[in-house]
Amino acid sequence: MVPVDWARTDVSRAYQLPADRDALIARYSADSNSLQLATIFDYLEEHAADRVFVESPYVDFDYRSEFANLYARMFNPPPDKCERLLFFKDGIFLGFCVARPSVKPVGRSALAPPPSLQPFVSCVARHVVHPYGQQYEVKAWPFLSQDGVYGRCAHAAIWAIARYHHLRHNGPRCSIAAVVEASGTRIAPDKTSPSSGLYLQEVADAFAGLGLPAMPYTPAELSSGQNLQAIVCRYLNSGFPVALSTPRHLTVLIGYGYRDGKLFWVRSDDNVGPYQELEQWNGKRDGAADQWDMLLVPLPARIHVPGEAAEIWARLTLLEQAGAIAETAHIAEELKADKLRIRSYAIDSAEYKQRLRSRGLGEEVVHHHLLTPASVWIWVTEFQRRGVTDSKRVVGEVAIDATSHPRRPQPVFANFPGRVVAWLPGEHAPRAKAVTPVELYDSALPRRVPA
Amino acid sequence: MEHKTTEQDAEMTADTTALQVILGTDLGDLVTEYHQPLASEDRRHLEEELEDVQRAQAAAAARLPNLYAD
Repeated sequence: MVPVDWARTDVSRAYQLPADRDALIARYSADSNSLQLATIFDYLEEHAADRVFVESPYVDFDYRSEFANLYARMFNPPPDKCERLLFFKDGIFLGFCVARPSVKPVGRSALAPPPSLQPFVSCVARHVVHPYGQQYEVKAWPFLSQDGVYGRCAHAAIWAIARYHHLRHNGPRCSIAAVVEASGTRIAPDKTSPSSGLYLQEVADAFAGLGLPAMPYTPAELSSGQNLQAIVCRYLNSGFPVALSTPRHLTVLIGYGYRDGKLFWVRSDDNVGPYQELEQWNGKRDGAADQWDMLLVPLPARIHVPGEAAEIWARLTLLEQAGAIAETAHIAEELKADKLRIRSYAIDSAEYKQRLRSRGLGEEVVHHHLLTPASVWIWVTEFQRRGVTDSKRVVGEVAIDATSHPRRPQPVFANFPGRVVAWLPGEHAPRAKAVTPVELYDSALPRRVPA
Repeated sequence: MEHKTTEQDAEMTADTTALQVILGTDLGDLVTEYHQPLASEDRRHLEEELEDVQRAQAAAAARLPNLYAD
């Protein structure tokens, strides 16, 4: 049962943290112990949050979708309105959580990553809220817990990824009802039914229907020369979340980092919370729950080339272009001798060009790349000097047209010390010229080692 | 007619200057190059890796109907 004063205007007020933590948790998880809500308050404690404002009533787009498509047909429906909690520390907005009048109360939420994980979360989007005529914004991963009736873990994971792409890449704003529709599991218009979950084919169909076609990966059967870690990191480096299927559960990988030389992932699990540190999968530890069955990488449509295919072709391009000229042949030899570390990411070419000047490539290279026509999305492969750990570690890079044919990725431009190359539209052979050599320049990718 | 402030004028001028500098470097001074393709063994190996990416994705897609999340 929800509190009798649920969503009344006189509920709106300010609370203090940590003093009012228990009272707030008691109000919003009266029907059950909400692990998600407790987790959110744990993050707030790490942030040293000092204030919570409750906005009541709050009409939430996503809860209304659940209400209209299921709860409204109940004989005794729950309230149709929510309350929204707004979190602050010293006047700085940390995020919000929509509290639903349901068994699983955590609705649409966005909370800044806790400070200990903040450097490792790759997938954050800007959320703007307007309570009582004010405007606040926060960068966070979008989160909601399944309500356990209309939506299950798969719906929550699909919703979060779709909402992230909506906020980050101007994709459509989709409710849980849109997820159900896109998965092909909607009951007839005048009928309602609780969901028991989704097959992964239905998950993939939902992503496609929402404009985010997904690339599938089976960890046990990857292509030759590839490893799971490299595949996932390429997409996370690009800011693309990765849906992770474990036995009967779907979660989302949204970041990664290294602690004591060991890789860990940051995972959003609708049963727990938006930021969960997860040790590297080894396939055997902790039984079935750790078994990674499948990865699905939903991508903004117009990315046709998988990350590993782009990287393979970037390697070929470097060998072919640098290897053909006496002045740059040593770069190709270093690649063959495994002296270069390879890191790839996808990026909007306009964003790539805007950042170029700050990376120390040299003005000639910057001008060349700015002027070379490029597809909207490009894959960029950095060839980095092994053993160099500071930001100045890149020897050269190759950009691949992400919209080209996956069996024949098309280079767009490249630079190696002392040389730039461009593949201009409509021309069969690349064009190149000598430039002033720059030994090492800044990587566009952050280091992911704890401070 | 909309009135522009001096600040807006300065911003527009700065943007134009940046474009003029970029467009001042002509791609026409690049030399077209026809390299010999990469030595056949290296190229064949990389092309096989690329082919295998497609195979692995097709195999993964075939498993999708067998997995369930609730």
